[in-house]
Amino acid sequence: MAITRRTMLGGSALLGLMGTGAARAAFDPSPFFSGRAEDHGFTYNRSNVAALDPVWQRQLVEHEHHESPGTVIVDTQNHFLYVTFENNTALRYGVGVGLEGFKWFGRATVARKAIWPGWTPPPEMLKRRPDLPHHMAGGPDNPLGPRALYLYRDGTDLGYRLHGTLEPWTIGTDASSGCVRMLPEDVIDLYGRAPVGTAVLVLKHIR
Amino acid sequence: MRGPVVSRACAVALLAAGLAGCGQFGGSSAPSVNGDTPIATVLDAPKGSPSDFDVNVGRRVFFAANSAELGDTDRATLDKQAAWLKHYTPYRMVVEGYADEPGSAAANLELGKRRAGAVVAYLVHRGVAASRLRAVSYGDTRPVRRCADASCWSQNRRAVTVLDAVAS
Repeated sequence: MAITRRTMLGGSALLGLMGTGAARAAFDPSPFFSGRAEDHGFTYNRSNVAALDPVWQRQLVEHEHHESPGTVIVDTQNHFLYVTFENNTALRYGVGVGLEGFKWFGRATVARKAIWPGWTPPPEMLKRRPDLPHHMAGGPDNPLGPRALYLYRDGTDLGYRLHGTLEPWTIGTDASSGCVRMLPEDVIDLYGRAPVGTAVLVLKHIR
Repeated sequence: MRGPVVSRACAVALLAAGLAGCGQFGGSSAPSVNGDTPIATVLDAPKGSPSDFDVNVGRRVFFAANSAELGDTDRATLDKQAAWLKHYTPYRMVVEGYADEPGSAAANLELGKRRAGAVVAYLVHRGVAASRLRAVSYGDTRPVRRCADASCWSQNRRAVTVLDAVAS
């Protein structure tokens, strides 16, 4: 049976959610958080950006590019996401890349955005995994975090999305689940800078 | 796939000084990676500098087609702009309005003017002195994207808050 992009997405998101407790029993995540923050009626753990290697911190950089200003460039290989500015500068974010993030590359458009996105397992997945919830509401426990940007090409949902993560320490790594994972603060920031219709270039990766 | 291309400025600086990184030439302590020269990070951008404004606030807001109304996302960005501009007063600001609708050049100039005006009015409402703000419209003369499909024009329908130091 063909595993669709969408079923993979859902499955990996849930695995990410369920796997954290057991697999990371000996891991202390507390240095990666610093207080709490409010956003649209939810409270989430604020990231301690200082705990990250400076290369993963959001930053303005000189970056040679040939895209229109405002284009989002996703470099999965090197774990960066850029919003291009004029004069070969760009705002760069460190990202984690889940399995889904390596399944596609090319040009796309931000066709839809969501605040505290929910997740609905597709019907074919529920058939195989009846134990799954029919819908996981958006909120601080949802592995997609506070925002998601959904990429389409020629009107078709690519199943490729830019979203948050609950695990700041996975920024800069290849993660087991999700697509392009960003710090909550960074995906909120990106949401404000990339209107629906924004051009996206996902660079080819060696994989 | 991009290779590990070092920017020209960085390469020259490296050759001249034999340094291990180029971060200091951009003013940031972050290391150079992926061919990028760091200018300022979210943590080390000098408070009140234009880089701080770019990294931690953002210049741009975007509009729906044929509209000069601010949405929730725009107001969130402008709230951050207002807080920053009230704290760092040496700047005057030019708010540039742009449009890219299928109408005439004159209609687009007018729409750009309304967009810039909406941003100025909101910033003033949030406490930024009106005397520091000036609205200009570039109409449809400076699109960032040129494409046939109207759905890709959203990046053109924008207003940009540009910092300008006070001439004292």
